[in-house]
Amino acid sequence: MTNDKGDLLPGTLEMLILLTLRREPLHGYAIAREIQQNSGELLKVEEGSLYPALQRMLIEGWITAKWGTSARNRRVRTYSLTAAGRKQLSREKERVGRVIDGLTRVMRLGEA
Amino acid sequence: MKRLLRYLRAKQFARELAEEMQAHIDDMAADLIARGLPADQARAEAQRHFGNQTRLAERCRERWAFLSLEEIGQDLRYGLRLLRRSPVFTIVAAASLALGIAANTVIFSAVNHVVLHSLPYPNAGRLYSVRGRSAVRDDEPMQVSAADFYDWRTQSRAFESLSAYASWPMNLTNVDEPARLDTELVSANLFATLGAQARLGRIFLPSEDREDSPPVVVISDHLWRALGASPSIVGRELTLNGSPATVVGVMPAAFAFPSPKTDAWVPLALSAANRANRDGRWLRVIGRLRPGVSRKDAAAEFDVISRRLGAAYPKTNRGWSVSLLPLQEEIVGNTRAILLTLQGCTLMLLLIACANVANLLLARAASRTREIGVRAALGAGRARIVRQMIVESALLAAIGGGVGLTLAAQGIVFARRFGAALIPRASEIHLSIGVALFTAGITMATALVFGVIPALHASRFDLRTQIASGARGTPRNVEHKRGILVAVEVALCCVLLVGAALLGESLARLLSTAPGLRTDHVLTLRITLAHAQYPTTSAQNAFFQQLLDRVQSLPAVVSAAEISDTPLAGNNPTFEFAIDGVTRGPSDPPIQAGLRAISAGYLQTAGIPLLHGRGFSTHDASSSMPVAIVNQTMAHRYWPGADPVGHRLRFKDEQRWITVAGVAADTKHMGLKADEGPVVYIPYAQKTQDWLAWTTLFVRTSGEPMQMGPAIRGAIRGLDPNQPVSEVETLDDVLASSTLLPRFTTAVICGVSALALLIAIIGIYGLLAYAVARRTPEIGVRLTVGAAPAEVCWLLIRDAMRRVAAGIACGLLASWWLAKLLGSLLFGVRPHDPATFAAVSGLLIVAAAAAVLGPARRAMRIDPMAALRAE
Repeated sequence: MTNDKGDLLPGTLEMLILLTLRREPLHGYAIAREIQQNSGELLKVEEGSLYPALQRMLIEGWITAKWGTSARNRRVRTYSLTAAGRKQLSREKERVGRVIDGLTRVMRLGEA
Repeated sequence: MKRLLRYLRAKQFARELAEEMQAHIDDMAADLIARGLPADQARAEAQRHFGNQTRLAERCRERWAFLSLEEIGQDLRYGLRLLRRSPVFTIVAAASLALGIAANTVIFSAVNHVVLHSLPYPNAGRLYSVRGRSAVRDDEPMQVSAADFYDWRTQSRAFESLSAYASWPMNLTNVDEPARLDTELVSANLFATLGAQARLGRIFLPSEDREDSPPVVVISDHLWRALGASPSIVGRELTLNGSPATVVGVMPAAFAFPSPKTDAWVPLALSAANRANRDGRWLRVIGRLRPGVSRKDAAAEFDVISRRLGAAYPKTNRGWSVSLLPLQEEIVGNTRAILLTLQGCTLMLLLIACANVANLLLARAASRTREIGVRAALGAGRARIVRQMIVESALLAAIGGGVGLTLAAQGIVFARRFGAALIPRASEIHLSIGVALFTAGITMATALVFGVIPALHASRFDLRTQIASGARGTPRNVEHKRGILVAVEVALCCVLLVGAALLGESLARLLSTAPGLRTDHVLTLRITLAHAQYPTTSAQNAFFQQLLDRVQSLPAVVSAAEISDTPLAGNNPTFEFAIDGVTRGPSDPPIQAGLRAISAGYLQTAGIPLLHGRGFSTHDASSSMPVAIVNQTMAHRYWPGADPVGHRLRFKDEQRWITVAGVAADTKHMGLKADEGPVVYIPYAQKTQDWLAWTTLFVRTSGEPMQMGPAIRGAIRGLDPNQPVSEVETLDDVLASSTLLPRFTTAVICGVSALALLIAIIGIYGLLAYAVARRTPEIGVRLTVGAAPAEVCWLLIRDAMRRVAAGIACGLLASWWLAKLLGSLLFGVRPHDPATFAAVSGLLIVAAAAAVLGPARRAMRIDPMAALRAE
């Protein structure tokens, strides 16, 4: 599992999940797939990180879970965003934005 | 509560998670199939991609709670199973902890209730002992004269009340068995100063402190019980020293001032002449500070008062000041140093026990790396593994703590029963909540100390190398850590041994000190005559002469004599003397000497050698020329280089000259630790002090002295049926009780040190035994390539002995620093006695050598071929 497969920057996974859930409630596999597709296959979500992250966000109260039926007619747990989750999302976006901003500046400096 | 709910829902949680993950895998497989992979391959790929489901589940569960009840339950069960599987380890570890914890709890209970707890009086922090101190004499603070006390009382603003008391034993006679009571003469406000109330009746009224008021008495709870525990005791008359006194109150059982043995309190009720007396310093004074007044303020005020009194009464008060000491410190006294020393020792023992258990756990963790590796591979998180090991240690600590607490409860019962003779406030000692918390604290700290080190170590490894390298792959740094632990054990052990050796040597010197008189086959009995009945020296002497004659004629009595204070028991009434031809300036220290009124045959009966001159005879009667015998210290100090026989001395406040007739050898009258100082013996018949109405009957017997008790009591009853007798003891017992405290302290510290040594030896043995087991293949290789077994053996021993040497070096340094603290408990030994330090180092080296011998021999016997094949 090396980095060319598109591992995430630490701390960005939760933001990505929140972003994905902002549009619609989804189940675990769907969240992973959405992130992967929306990033043009550049980002890849580890299942080993996804489920613990979901559990943590449940405990924090940013998301809620509900058992429902998937498109394939399977019983799945669907996660949706809460009000607290939306607030957290804006905080996270700002934070990640700053990180990326910083990274970009440093990288530009390195190229120059 | 939430956690409990989660625990109850744990099964549901696991099921849901499993279902969710399965759905995930199925979805992924379906996608793969959609991309054209064959169904079985797709499923396998999805499964592979998803990874370790168990591990993932574990990580999800960890998100829910750091410690879920379910997991703790698992950890506990697993821990118990492991402890059961290695009973020797469990017993050694738990037992050393239990002993350490028990010793600490008992000692801490004592420290807590004797030293830390305030006295059982309201606002006890404001109670002070107020004592006179002379600039001329460099000795201990002294008691106070009545006139000074009453002046203090009227002049002091810092104290809201000042009270005086003095020990004044009395004879109680209108009861079935006449008894000598430990009575205190007290100013009427003593109880109020302390803040104590009577449990029956009342305390004294201010008016009862006057000479002409009807005599009253307040009695202790134990005297009340001895008198039948009747609630109607208030109002009853007791005959004290031949005169009636009315019981006005009974104090509660907890009231023990100045000592738990005090039977009764009687008002001072001094005459006007006695109130004005500034010479006799015989009262002890306590005071209660006004709220908000500090000790410094009070001391400053008393400086002013003392100077004023010194200017007004230069003859008696010049150079006298006042020393204030918290009452608690005065009562606890030297016991504080002893208890704190014991506490220090037991704490070190506990540390050694902890280090040893950590050592054992470290070795075990090292040998369990493979097991842990497997558990990690099966999906246990690092936190989970660390926690598991901490739970295991905590379990061990809980067992140790539980057993220790049980032992401690027994120990405290023991301490209360036998401590009464040794330490003040012993009856107050009990296992309290504070002590239970302290024990819990020790236990928890223990669990943390020895749980965390091995746990952190065991969890910090790389999975793959662990499993691949197998059980032998224990990193060397485990041994390094264990080496440090062993060095710490040795160092602590060294400190304890130095302390034990110094105290042991002190005790040996104390016990081998010659008391200066023959203590075997002697019975001593204390008799105090009622002053009302025997008001003069001649009446008192007549009684004692008759008694001596009667006792002398008893069978099995070799000889009988009397002395005003029992030898070795610590009472030494001192008087000021003047010596013919010696002039003293106002700034010279006064000539002070202990006074002993003795019968003619005393020196001979006691076996005290007469160095010059003659002893007393029956011809030295009240009408003949006054004579005295001085002890050697007195002779050397005041007649240096001359023979005092024939010289004259007198009591400073009398005009009558006394001729020195002889010089006697010094004795250890005050107990073995102290010299008796200058002493003047006078014939009992010639004493001018009519108030000195007591004596100690000193009977040398041919058989067991205690058996003579009834016959001698019979002789006394035959003379006066109302005469009580007290303190019937053999002189050997008096001697033994004077050394009881040092013997007890030394025994405890030696026991603690022996335990510590044993634990340290186990530690050293364990270190080397483990090293040999681990390095067996290496040793095999060395032997194969031609190393001599002795060389290999030396290699191992050198390793272990290096730790021991480091430990000893640190231990000696620490001891050098700590030994000073023992100063007040030592006798005849310097704290930095080089011989003691050398002996302890030697003992530790020998013990360590004995410990390494077994494993080293095993290493020498290793068969190289077998060792290599095992590889």
